[in-house]
Amino acid sequence: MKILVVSLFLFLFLPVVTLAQESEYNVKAVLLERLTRFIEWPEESTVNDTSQSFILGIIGKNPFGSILEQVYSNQKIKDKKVEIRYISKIKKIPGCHLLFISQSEKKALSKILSFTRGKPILTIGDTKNYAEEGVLINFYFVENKTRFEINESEAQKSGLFISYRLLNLAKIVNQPEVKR
Amino acid sequence: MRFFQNFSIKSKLIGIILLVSILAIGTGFTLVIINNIKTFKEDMVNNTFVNAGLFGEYCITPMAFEDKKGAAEILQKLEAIPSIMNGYVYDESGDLFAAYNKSGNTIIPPRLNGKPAAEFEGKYLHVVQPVIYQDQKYGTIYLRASTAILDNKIKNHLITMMLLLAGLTLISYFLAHRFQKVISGPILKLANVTKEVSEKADFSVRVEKKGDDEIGALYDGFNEMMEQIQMRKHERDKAELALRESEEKFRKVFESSYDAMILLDENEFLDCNNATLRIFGYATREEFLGKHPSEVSPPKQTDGKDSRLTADERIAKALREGSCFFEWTHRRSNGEVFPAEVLLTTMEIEGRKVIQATVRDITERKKVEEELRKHREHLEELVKERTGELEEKTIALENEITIRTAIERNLRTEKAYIDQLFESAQEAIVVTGKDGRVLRLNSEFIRLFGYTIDEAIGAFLDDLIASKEYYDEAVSVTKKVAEGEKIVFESVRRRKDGTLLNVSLLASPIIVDGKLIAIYGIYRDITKLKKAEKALKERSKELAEANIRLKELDRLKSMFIASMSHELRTPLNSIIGFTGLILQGLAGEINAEQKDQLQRVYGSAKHLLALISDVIDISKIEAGKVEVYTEEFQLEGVIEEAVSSIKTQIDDKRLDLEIIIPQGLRLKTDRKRLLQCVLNYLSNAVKFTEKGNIRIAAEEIDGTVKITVKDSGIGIKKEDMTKLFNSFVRLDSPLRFTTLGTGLGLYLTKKLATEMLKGLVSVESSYGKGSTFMLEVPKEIRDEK
Repeated sequence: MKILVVSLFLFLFLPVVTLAQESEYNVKAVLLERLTRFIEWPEESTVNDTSQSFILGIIGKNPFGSILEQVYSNQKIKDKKVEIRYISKIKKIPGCHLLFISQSEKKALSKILSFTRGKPILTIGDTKNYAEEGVLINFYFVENKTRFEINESEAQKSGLFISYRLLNLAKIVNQPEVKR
Repeated sequence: MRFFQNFSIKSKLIGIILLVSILAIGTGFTLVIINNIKTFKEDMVNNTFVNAGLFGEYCITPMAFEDKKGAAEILQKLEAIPSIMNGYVYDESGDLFAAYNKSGNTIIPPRLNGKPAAEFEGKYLHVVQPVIYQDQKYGTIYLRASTAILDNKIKNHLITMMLLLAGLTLISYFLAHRFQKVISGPILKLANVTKEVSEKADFSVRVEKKGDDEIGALYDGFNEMMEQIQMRKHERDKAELALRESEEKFRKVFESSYDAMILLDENEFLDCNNATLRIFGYATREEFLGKHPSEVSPPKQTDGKDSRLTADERIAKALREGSCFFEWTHRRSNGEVFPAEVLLTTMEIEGRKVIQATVRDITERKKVEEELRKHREHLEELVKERTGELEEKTIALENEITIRTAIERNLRTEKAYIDQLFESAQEAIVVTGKDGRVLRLNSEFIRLFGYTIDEAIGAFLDDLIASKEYYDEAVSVTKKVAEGEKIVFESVRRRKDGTLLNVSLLASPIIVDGKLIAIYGIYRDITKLKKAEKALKERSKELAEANIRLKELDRLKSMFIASMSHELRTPLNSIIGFTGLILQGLAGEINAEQKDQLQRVYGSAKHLLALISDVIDISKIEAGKVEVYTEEFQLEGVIEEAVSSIKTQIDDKRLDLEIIIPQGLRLKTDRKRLLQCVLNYLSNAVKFTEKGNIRIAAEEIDGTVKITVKDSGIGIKKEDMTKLFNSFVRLDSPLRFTTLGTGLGLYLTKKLATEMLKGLVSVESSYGKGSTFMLEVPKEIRDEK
């Protein structure tokens, strides 16, 4: 049975995600929640306090328009109400559980990341090379389908726990050294 | 079952053991198989559930990200599991999300409700498992697995078990085959011995018994039977011997006749004796010689064989084997055919082999043989009769055994009685052999002498309980009793702890059928008795001594009183005499007061005199100084005299007096004393009777005269009756102070009646109603001198 499971993992690489007949950001908006299903915040994080809202921050130019509000007016994340924050200054990042970094922040990325690095803030972007530069999850588009890549080394540093299920589905960037 | 009965014991035993083994093993195996099949099925269900869970897990992310292709690719991996034919994943709303069908097994996906389930249906197992991750339900997975592998597994299992069953049955068979010998072996042995006995007619065969089980009993029975048969056979053999002897006798008679003796070779007769000619009916030897034996025989023998050929065969046989004996049918010269016994003996005469034939005409013998046969039948009847007698004797023997058993039972009962008597006896009982060794003893013996049974049994009794001082006595007693004497005596014996005890001992031989077989002793512990006896003797001696002293004292007292009384009476007589003279006025006139006072002096002096007279009488009697003076008189006179002296008092009290005396009753005794007694009774009766009557009666019974004085006075209390005849007794009564009395009256009466008249006194009374005093005296007192 073990051999079977192992062989099964070997075959699982980069499955394609398709969310039919949705616009690109509709899909991405929904995907944000889906991704959180397979990610655990550290115990001390306020994410685990159900009395507080889940803080979804967007830094830079908002590509979602009003989609996020539409999607998360009813949809909960981690069984919590969702509060959407549009962040214009880096200083305002603390308190965010999830931070979507817009394409517009490409130049300020290293600054933002220096702020988030090592903290349990799930950074997500959809810009080429974001993952390589340190964003934890980065959407990309190939063969008409939205996929995502994960910077596993940064993810480990952040203290967030990403399920192997998600890792199996993602393209891994910057794989960490194998722990002994 | 009937055909089973004809099988040998061996087959039956093996069959039964096998049947039981197969039943037991079969039941066990069936249970194991059922259990195993259940386990196989459960294993398969569990495995399929595991697979469903696993593949459900794999499909979570594809379902989360709605990646149908990815899910399909994952399901495709079910290919690696050979039993799974179909795998379907449904989304949350129940729509098919991804599917896998093993090639050639495509089916229409069933609608599912998402609850976990497993169900065997035909050759397939259906498993449904919801897909859940972190409380979020993503859909349902359904697997359809073929049971082909399970069936195969079950089939293999069944085959293995069947082979094992066959193997075990085989082992059971071999074991049964081995172990049945334990039972069938001895039976087969018995069967073989029986066969051997019937073949060889050897009835001395016995089988050796190996155990005390039923087969042992069977062997005993067999041996018993053989014993019986051998006995019967012995009887029969004796009868047969008798038969043979008588046959011998007849044969000797027969042999006295001449036999034909012929010398011949293969071809012709060479020589013969005269008897031959006589038997065959030829006048001259020349006529007979030169012939071939078949020529003096009929063409064919009685068995239908050709005479010529048969004759040649017999001759050849005789030449080959030296002799040949057979019966032959011959023909005389006159054509008459007769049976014969032929003995051919080969001999060599002058280097030539010839045959000597002895031909015996057995015409007569055949007849005799017939007789013999009849005779034998007669003898056989005799044998039968004897056998019958034997059976009767056996029955008689059995009856005797029954009787003896009954006697034995009685004896046992008798023994039980005696044993119980023996054990419960209050005396110590011991049984010894003639040599004095202890054979048996009872519990009282153990208690009395302190020896245990183990110590006592087998020891010499005299060593056990005779002390040094009494050892010789004990040994001599044992010896005497062993010679048949019965001895009862008292002696001293010793306990185990050395203390001595007085015993009363009975030693006696036990004689059975006039033969002394043992002796027994019965011991009673009389130590206490002896002590008591000794004490009693000492006490008696003391008492006797005291008695003698008392008697002497009594006698001295009586003598003193007798002489004193006499001395007292003389002055008293003077007082009475002179007072009487004064009262009569002989000494001059006296006034009324003086007269009254003198009257009192006179009365008191009279009373004192009476008292002294009584005392003197008693003293004399007690001192043995009174002599009986006998005379012949009529009772009537005595009674009249007594009545006349109290007549005035009776009249004063107005009492009725009744006198019932037989006329002319004569007595020869002391009249004066008798009168004194009667008077005493009468004056007492008048004294204590205020009204009513007094009855005096007398009768004679067997030489004794009984005088009864009955009154209707105050009577006597029961507790006073015994004191009544004692001296100086005046009973407590209402009349005590109004009546005069010395208190010696009845005492004196008793003394007189018993010591002088040789009679006795008695009284009957009921208090308040009256008393009856009786006096019984012999009609005649024999002069003792």
